[in-house]
Amino acid sequence: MTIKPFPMVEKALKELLSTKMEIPPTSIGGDLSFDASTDDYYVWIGLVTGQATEIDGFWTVDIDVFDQHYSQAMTRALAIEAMLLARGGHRTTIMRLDNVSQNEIPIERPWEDDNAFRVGSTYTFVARRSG
Amino acid sequence: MAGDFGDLEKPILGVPRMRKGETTRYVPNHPSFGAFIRSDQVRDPVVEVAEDIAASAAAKVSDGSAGGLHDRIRKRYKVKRRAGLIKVHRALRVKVEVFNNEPGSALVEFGARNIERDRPLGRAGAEFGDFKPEGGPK
Repeated sequence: MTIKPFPMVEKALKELLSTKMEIPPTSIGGDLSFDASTDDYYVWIGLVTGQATEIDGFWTVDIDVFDQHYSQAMTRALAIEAMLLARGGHRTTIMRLDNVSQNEIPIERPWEDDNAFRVGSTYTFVARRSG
Repeated sequence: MAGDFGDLEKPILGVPRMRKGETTRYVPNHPSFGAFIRSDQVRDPVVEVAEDIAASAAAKVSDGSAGGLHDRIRKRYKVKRRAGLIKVHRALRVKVEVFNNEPGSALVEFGARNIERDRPLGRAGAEFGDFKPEGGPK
């Protein structure tokens, strides 16, 4: 039996972003129903691929920031990048992110909505379950 | 005391002058090492990996009609050899990019409001990397 790969990393990233970046948990997750007319901003976490055993694994994850303004989306994406790539890894109650590397730098991605901007980047996490 | 140091001409006496809690560590920041790690000699194997990623991404593009968007995307993965340098923590390293210049490739790669993402290049790139020391897909 293997652990369910993505929900654990998603929860760990959600906890990390809400504690270190002070982003409300309601603005982080896997929901793609961002509406620029009502929502302020949203940080979307989406799994690209990954492999896991019972205790550890690696996951490649998209982290996209949606915002009404390009500058705010890019600023928040760059702040997340700086936080994630800091030395020493990260420790959450769910998982320990031992190594974080970046596959794609924050750049604007298509969304087909003139009122919303999407700035995304891709990271690979080597993580293990917190004991 | 002098006899304890054998044949040393000028023995260093006392404890090492280090601040409390400080430890020694190896920092590979020698100028010649830095020049080597940014050289064309090091860039060559990175380009080889990038070409493998491009081929893997092309194989991951979902099937479409002949001559259609997916077919064009599959043929237009390219490697940019001289993509500058990238800072990894505090050290500069060579950077090589894999890109696709087909206009519709961004939508297939990242999706959009009403288009589901396929991520062929993202999935191909994740198969290679420092987290898999043996490198490459199995």
